[in-house]
Amino acid sequence: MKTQTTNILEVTGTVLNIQRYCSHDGPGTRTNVFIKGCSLRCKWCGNPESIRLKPEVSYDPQKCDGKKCSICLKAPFPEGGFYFAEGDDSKVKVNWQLASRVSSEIASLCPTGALEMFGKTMNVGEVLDEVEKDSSIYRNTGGGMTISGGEVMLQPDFAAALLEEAHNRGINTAVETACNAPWSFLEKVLPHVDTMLHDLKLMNSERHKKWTGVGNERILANFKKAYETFPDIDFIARTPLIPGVNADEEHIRAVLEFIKPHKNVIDYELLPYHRFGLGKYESLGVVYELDDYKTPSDEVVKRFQVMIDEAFGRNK
Amino acid sequence: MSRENVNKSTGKVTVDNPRVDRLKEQLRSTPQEIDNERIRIMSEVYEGTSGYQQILRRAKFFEQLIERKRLYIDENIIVGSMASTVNGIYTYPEWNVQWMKEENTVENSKTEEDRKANKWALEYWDKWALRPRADEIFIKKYGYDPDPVYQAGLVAEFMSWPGGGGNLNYPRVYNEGLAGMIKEVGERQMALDMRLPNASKFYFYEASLITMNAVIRLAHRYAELARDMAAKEKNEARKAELLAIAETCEWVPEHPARNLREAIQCHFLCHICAEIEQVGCGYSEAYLGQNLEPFYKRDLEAGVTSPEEATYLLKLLFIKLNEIGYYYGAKVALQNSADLGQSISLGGFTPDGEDATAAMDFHILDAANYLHLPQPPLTCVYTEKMSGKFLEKVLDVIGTGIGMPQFVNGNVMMLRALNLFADSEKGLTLEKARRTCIGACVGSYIPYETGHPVEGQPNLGKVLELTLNNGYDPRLKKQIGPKSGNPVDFKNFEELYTAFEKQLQFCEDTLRREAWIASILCAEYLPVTWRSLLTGGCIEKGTEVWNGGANYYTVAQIVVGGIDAANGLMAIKKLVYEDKKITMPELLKALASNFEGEYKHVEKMCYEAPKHGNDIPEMNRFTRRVYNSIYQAFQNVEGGGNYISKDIKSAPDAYTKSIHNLMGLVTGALPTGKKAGVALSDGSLSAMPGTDVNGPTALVMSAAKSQDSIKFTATHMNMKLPPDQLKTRKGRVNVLNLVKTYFDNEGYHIQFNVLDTNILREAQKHPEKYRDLVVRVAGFSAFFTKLHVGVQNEVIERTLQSFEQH
Repeated sequence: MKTQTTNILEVTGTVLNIQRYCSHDGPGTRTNVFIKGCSLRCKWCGNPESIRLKPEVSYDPQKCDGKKCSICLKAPFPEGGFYFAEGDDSKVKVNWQLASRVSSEIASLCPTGALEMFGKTMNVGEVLDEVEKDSSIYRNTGGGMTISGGEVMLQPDFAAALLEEAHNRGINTAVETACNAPWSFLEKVLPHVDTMLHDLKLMNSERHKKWTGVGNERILANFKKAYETFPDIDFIARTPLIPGVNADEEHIRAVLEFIKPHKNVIDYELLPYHRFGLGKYESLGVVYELDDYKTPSDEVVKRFQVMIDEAFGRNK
Repeated sequence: MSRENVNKSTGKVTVDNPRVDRLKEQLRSTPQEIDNERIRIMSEVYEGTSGYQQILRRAKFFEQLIERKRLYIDENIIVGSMASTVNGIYTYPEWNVQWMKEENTVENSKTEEDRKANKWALEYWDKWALRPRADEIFIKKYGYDPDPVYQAGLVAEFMSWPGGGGNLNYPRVYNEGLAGMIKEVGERQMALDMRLPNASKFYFYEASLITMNAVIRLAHRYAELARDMAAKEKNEARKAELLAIAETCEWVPEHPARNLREAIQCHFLCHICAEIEQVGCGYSEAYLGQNLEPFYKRDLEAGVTSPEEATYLLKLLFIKLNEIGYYYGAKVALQNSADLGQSISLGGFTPDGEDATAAMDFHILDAANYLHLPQPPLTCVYTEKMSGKFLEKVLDVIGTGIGMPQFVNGNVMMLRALNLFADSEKGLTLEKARRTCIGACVGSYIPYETGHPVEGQPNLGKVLELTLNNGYDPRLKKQIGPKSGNPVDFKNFEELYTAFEKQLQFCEDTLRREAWIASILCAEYLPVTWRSLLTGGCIEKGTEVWNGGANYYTVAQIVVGGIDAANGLMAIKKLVYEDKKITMPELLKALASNFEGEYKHVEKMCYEAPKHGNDIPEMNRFTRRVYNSIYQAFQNVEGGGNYISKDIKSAPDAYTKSIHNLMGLVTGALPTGKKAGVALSDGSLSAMPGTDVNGPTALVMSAAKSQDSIKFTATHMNMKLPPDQLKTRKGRVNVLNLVKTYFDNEGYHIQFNVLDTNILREAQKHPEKYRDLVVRVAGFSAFFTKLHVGVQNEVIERTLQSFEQH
């Protein structure tokens, strides 16, 4: 069911960022294509700039020249989008609602780079031309392209076209997903996937809803169906470990139980939580709710790892 | 070849690392000091030998210097030194006395004897030194004074100080002994048909005999000194040690070495004689470990040595290599940081194409890792056949933060050698090509057979600056280059590029033409007999190395600022001609004002224009075009070749030592966003600091595409690694994958500098300079300078646990 190559190349989507030389999301050295738009609202989210589907402006006050510059207080910037707080003209303040009208052309007028756009519209050809630049290291390491998000499954046509074109160019494919999307979307994407990294954040649906905004019934059903429908995909389960949320033995056991019957789930990875998204929240005018949480200790991670290795029959 | 039996009395050494520590401390606490012994002896010998052919005159001076120089033996059981004290340095007025004038060496002499020697040197060589003599001929032949070209910083000339000379065949001496070589040379001399064309050969052989006997004499003088000291020594252990030194030096280099210690002693005495004859950067040590391996193996079998003892001897040798120095004035010090380039090559191929790594290569890494001293620089000649065990060790040493070994690509070295020499007069076999090793710092030589005339360093950053100023240098306020047109009048980018090529050609013409005159003068009156004896081809041809005796030649022309030129031209192409963000007159005004005042925004505009290192196809192609232009300009000079013959194929190197700092000082603001006085980019393929923002693979893939690593005789790239990259399994694998991928794509050289947390703190203070710094912890990665300051601090605190570049 190969579509015409020319068509594939012209399919467009919103790309947040293309990052080369990644080594954590799938086998070998990879290029991660981050696409925008997410249907979960995880309170610990490290990539808040990936949540909205459309390109959006961000603001880094550290770079702002304040009164000296003042360019964003005038047209073509939206009136009232940027202003000075009383008695402080060293940095502009942002009215996020009004500022959301700023386009990438307008943002580029900011001379200090304090205003920057997150995300841009790209077509498959443009993305793959960038991804293909590292073909040599993919061949050396068994690496390839990983589409990450945001939620990959929310741009199913774009994701499917990216993956198919990667295969056309001999590039291994992976997706990183939470699968909170209709099965019909997944069905488009998964035929072109070699490795699927998927998050099992919380196994209890109510708690899942509390921390991510939605229950996990559809997600778990999607996983099961995917395991069964696509036996050739290497599935890797993952949990972002957050103390007080899911960094407990019970969760690890539940996940292991869930994946146990499926031989094509080849691994379960733990991602100890870090607060690295912190600066980005400020840049986007979003309140970060999880400020108090700490990184899980090495001992805890090690203990869970032993459980996982046992379940996979790996003796260390 | 047959070998002497293992000599146990000199071979057995006692490992004494506290002694190594004391010697290292002595090295560190003894300031470098000018030793006037050399010019004093020269003043006494030179007048009395004026009637001789120059090659004999130089040999006799060498002989007298060896005979009369003051010797010392300290705790190091490997003996030999250039000057008469630890860290003493000789001066070499034969090249240029300008710095002696500038730094008042006569007035500043400490003793009357020194004052006399300095006065003689200054007066005599002011008239006869290489640089003024070359200038005189150049002006007569080409009709203009080259000095402003050097003053402007368009070219760093290599005529004012002696240059080193390739990988000398010390192994021949410790395998065959000088006595055997003396016999051979004597027979060749006697066999000469005494007609005019053979006269110069006769003199060369005569000088050779004087020189080799002097080298043996030096060893014997050390033996005498050791015996004298032993006679007075009360401590029995020390006495035995001194007697072993005496026995060693009575035997080598006259006879073939009988064990590892004798081979190492012989190696060093031969090396120090090369430095005494003509000090300089670039006497590299080739595959030292592999050459010593047969001695090591035999000693091991005979129970005379052990891995620890072998490593200990290497430590003592390396201490010695750090005692050598030179000084030709403050400017040259800035130019190359008194680097000696005594590079050791590790790994590589055997003549059959197998992995050549020797056990001694491991011990060399151990010794260097113990000492952490600048000399000798180590190079891992990477091949796909290299063992993982060896690479692990290499990574361990890099991980300590000493910036070495550097990696070079064994396949590229081989192809380069075949490209240069396969159709030379001598020809080149595949077997020999496989043994190509590091010459000087980054370039590559056929070991023991390569002459290495020096030419100089063209500054491509300055070429661009002159292009933008119609050949006028704003700093000197003087017309330096040709009038290539006012950029304001250029209708398109290609017209600008043509002007750039004109300035480039002028730069190459001046550089090579005067360098060739200087080389021709060296052939006549600064011949190097000892160097020639150890350079393949010279003995057979009866011809000294400057005079064309070597089997192969490469050229030390070290191209600096290629990336600055490429980035700068690309910025103009985009900003002025394509996107029309700024007009040429405005850009020129901004550059002239050094981006100050109303032109501050232009600096940012320039800095953000497309830059090398981001794997942008158009940029990669353009950088390659700039490098091809310099290559072509090099070949255009007098129809190519070198000063000896049009038929000796040669090519420029491209690497910086530390000259990008000096060259940056004399180069004004550039359209790259570089301000006046700021350093140029280092290496030939490193990114301008802070401008490669697409990660490591983007940098190496840009580098692989942007310069022909086979056509050029060197390319050079430095890369930063986060502090703990090499402390995790995955991090180490990533580094090796990067090296392999770069080399699969014909990359030639990559050197990793491991960052420490101080640099992260520096990046917090000056984020604009560190935009390329990427950190990654677990599932999330980011540019360090974009992180929230609290998070940055967390990263700094965590670097010791789980740091890894994304």
